[in-house]
Amino acid sequence: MHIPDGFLSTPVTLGTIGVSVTALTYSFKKVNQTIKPEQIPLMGLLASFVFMIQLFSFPIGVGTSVHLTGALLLSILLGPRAGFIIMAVSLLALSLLFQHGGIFSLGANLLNMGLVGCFVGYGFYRLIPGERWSLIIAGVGSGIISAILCALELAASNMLEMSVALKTMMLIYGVTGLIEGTITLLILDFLRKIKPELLDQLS
Amino acid sequence: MNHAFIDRYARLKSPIHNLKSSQKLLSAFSMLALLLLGLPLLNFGNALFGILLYGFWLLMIAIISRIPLTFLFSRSALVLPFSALIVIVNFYSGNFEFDQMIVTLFKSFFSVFTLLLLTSTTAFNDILKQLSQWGMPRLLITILAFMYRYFFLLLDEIEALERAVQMRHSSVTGWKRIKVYSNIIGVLLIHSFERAENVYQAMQMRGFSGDLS
Repeated sequence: MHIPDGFLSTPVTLGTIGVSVTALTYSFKKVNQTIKPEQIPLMGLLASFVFMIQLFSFPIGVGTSVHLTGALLLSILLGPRAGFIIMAVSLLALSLLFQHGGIFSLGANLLNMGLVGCFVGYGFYRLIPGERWSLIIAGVGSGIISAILCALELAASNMLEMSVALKTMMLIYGVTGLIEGTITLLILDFLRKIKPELLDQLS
Repeated sequence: MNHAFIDRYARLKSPIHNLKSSQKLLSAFSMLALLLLGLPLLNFGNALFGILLYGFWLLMIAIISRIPLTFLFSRSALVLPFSALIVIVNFYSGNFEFDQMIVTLFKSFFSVFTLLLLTSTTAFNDILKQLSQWGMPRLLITILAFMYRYFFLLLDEIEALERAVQMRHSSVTGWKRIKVYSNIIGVLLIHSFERAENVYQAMQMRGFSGDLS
């Protein structure tokens, strides 16, 4: 869920912006040292790609639809720091061009989806052996942490009671996380089948 | 192919469009900051007065800028279901007073409206140019510019893929649908990688070494 502007109180807005900007600066310093010029158009195209998959939600039946964040996939392909930068770029563009999430709440959205999705998700993926389970656990685990963060932000801004917020967010992010993990797994399988040299050349 | 929708009113002529992009960006962000962080400054003792004053000010700018009001209102209204949900939940639990409900509803509506006014009066490239003059890191600007450029091409591609899916797999549901969906994303991903390589080679021939300016 992209939190719109106007939902978060001043301390929550400033705090989340602080955390996100710090993480972004850190990722930036690291990526800037190692990036090769041919990766710059690639990062732009992948930002476009993430932007696209976030716009197109797809129905899973029973009147509900979800969309991927792409954070887990990007972190596996390019590493969590580059993935986080791409997430930041596409969330900024989604907010400016499609009013999908606010500008002042960008800090919170980047924290919930980008930071947790890229770093926590990638951490789970690397730490747990066996690709199938590690991806599912990475999806669901980062989904649950995002849900707790999102509920805390809304509750601290006096918008929802903690218990209500937590239940709703757990439901939204839990399902999204499960699907994120599953689809990331399917996409990696697909890439291995169709274009295995792509994954070799990245790792 | 009809893809001018992102900032389609950015090339109109009006007193607002003629302002410098730095002026438009600064005023949009300070207005948002006032609405989101400093609304009590506008209140003069009544919570509703502040938000109405802000709305009146927005409407004046919208009229001067000659952007169709129906566009501005219908796009801004997309955020209303979210705020309505929050207001309804709090109405039943009795947490919000009347003023607070109205303010919550209008705050998110008006902030989307303000952002829309910015992007409908300033082309995306001009926003990027201004942000880079203000010191936003080059790498971020370059990625944003690439993203904006290739968004339309990817959009065409996903439309073609969706049409193909409708033709062949329209009746597929459940797990199979998830598989079809992830294959589409996989194809899109492979094409993005290939295109990035071609673009890089073409740009390298013309002297690109990692920096657009």
